[in-house]
Amino acid sequence: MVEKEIVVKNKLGLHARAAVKFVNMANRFSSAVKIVKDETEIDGKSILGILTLAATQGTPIMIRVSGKDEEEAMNALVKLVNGNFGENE
Amino acid sequence: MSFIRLRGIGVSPGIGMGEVCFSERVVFTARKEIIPRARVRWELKRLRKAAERTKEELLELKKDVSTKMGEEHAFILDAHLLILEDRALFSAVEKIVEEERARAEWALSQVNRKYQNLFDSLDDDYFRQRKFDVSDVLSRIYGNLEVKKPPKGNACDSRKTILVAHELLPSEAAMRLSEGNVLAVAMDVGGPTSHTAILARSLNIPAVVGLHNITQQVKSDDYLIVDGTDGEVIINPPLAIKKEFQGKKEKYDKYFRELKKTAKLKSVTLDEVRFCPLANIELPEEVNMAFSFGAEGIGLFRSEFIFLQKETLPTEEDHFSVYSRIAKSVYPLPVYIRTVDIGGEKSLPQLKIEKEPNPALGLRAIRFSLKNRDLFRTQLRAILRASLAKNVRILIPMITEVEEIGEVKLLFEEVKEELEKERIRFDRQIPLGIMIEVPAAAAIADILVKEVDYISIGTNDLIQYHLAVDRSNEFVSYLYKPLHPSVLRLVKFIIEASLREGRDVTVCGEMAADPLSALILFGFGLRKFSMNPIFIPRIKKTLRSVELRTVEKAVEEALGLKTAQDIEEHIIERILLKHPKAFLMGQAI
Repeated sequence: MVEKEIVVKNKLGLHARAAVKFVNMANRFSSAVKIVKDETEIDGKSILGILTLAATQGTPIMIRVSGKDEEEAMNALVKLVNGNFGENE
Repeated sequence: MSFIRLRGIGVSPGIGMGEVCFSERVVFTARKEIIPRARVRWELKRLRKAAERTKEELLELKKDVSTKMGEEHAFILDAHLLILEDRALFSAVEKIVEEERARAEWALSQVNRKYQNLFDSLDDDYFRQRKFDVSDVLSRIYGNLEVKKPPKGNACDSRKTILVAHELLPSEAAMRLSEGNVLAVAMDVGGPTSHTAILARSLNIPAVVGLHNITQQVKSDDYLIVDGTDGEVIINPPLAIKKEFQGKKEKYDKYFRELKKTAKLKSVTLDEVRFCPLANIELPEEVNMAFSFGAEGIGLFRSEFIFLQKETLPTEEDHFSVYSRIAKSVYPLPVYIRTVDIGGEKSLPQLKIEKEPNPALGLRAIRFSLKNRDLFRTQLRAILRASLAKNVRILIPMITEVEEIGEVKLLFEEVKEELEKERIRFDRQIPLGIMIEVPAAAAIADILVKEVDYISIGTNDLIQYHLAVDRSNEFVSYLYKPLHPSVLRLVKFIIEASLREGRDVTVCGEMAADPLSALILFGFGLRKFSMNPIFIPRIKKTLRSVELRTVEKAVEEALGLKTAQDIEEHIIERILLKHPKAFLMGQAI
């Protein structure tokens, strides 16, 4: 298992459009993906899980990936979040 | 059933009559039906079948929305597809069917309630609102449980109905209106420039907004008449009224077909003088509608809506995706993109603009852009990037003095250099033009025109400023007269100054859309008329039925008269004498 803490930096946070991108990315890998915010852990392949996290701008989240392709999956997901989901802000 | 008439704002003309369909499609059940143990497997299969049908439906809708409205509107359907396929959601539904031996209807309703509560407990308003996406998907599955007989009230998908809503999100509006089964729209809130209103106009769907509480006044079985021309909504009309509106509707539809025919005719006068009708629009989606009315280009593309799409400021990509789409769909005809006209009373939540004591005379349009240079640069960069096909033009609104043009040009050059350094290609010869709306600018039009490639006259603001009349103020609006001799002198001066320098000049304001005013402008030498596309056929009809000579003579004589009324009477009389068909418009819209 690999895990990494990052901060959601884009202005709208993990809103619907970003959540769609996150889930689609996570689904490309066979590893299980979890997101932890505060005490809550949700399935990173569940859009409803992500939306109910209500992660707004500046929220620190922990991404946990475990499985065969965990390294690649983690890299891709971190890149997506750090790249502000391609939203430029 | 009570009969009620409501007044609102008609934002898209035409009449729609039919049964009500609420925008909330949620029709969950409160009745728990237990099934025999042996039927559980069958019930689960029924549920999965419904989910499959829902998926097909959403994919279909997504394809539809992206072709009709563009990719960016279709993303909401991607979200809905992911919700549909969300394991947590679906397994929760299945679990209830299995463990409680309940019908799928009850299971869907329970899970919906659970998620409504969950989302309601969130702190952030945006995320709270996502509960509607969940219930949207669940109610779609619900509706698909029965194949032949869709549940009552949830059958809006197949029947043509009147859409009643408190308010529609842009994505919802795009989705609902593109489905092709909305006869008309009636909403509690909204104004003529709300996204829904614009979309309704572009799709020729009658719409009345600003009805305050129509959602509370109608029930799902009610019959509605929506008169988008006069801004009226009638709930459960008696037969006599229904008949009256049926007649009105037929008349309008006939008139509309007539107009469309005119749209295809050539834009020339009886003596073969060419003129050019252009369209004022606010959304890229309106381009096709503008063409269908006979527009020969987009004379004014208002860019403000880009700022209204999101809660945050638009990025360069946001701007670019809109401009490149519009440039492509208009090509090879030109599109004039007006840089943003905000500030003053057109405020934006993202910007926290300070309230000014006199917004019409305050920090707006180019004044605002020159104060907020980062926003302006972003917009200019995006426009330049979209200009490669050489059909993009820029319009700078509300110029007051020469110095402003200098500043704009300086900034424009900087942005061009920046792009060149980044090796981004654009139209290096892209022309630059200004809008004349300030009387001071009008009076020095001969000086200003030497600095730019073309001029566009925004007559609505120009007349208000020139006559010092707020035409929305009922106490003074009687003074708002486009044919005031002073207004005509001013406009004539601008047109002649531009033509003398060999520059293009366009009028984009209501004057261009009014047959009588348009004739006068034509007499002054104007050939480019930019207006709300629905008025293009009537202007074409008028100009096609006159000769330039007659118009020039009538206008010249009229300029010697003292009052707007004298001028109006004189022109009508003189034109009709030679061209009796000039003002045959049929029913006014």
